[in-house]
Amino acid sequence: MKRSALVFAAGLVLALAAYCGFYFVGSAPERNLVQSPEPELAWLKKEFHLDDAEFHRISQLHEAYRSHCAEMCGRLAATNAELQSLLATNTTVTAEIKANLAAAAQIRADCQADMLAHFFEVSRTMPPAEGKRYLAWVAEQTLPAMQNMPGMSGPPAHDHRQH
Amino acid sequence: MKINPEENQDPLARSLREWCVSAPLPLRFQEKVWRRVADAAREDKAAGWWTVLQNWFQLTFSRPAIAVAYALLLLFLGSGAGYWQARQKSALIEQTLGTRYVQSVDPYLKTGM
Repeated sequence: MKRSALVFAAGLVLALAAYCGFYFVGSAPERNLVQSPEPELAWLKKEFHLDDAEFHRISQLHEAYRSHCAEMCGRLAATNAELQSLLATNTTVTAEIKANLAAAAQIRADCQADMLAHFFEVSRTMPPAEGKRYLAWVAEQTLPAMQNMPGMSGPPAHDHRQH
Repeated sequence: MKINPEENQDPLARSLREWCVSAPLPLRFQEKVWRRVADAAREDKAAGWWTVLQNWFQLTFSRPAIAVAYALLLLFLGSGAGYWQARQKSALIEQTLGTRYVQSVDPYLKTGM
């Protein structure tokens, strides 16, 4: 009876060890990505098979784009705040309100153009096949949001404070 | 029936023979007795199943071929479950990081897409 119980328990321990081993080894690369300083960019490197030089260049592009994007977001937020105050003091659509709306629309269009320019630049930094795949993927991810662009009720949804 | 003369002379034996219980039985005495009999029978039956199980367990796992097959089966099941769970976890992390990358570059993508 003792030997049978030992075999039974050894089987369970073996199963548990195999489970833990396969789980930790199998998910280690992705868990390491999360632990990296820039998980999103580390993911980009892995997903699009970038070498170190390409990754370094794309990281620089990303940082530059993020700074510029933050500046644009600030401008848009200021324009929106100005529009809010104009709406509070007027009862008709004045020339000033029209100019403000046009300015906000121009900033949003500039933001989109800058974003697309950034995508193209990043894709050019990648190997050609990966760059093409990156463009297709990023278009699929961002175009629906661009087509349903929010109005001027608030600043863009992403938060520059985290960068 | 012949009575043993020695026993006849023993006062204790004589007293025991003459002793008669006159106190009444407790209430529901018979019912309680039968209940205890039934309980004891049930316990015997349960112990029987347990014994059968123990015997089966002992016989099965004492056979080397069965023990090896059992260990291999559990090894396979543990590995498979671990591999599948790792793939699920990896896919979730990759999807999350991809979404976070897009959110970091697209000003109009809603958070928590």
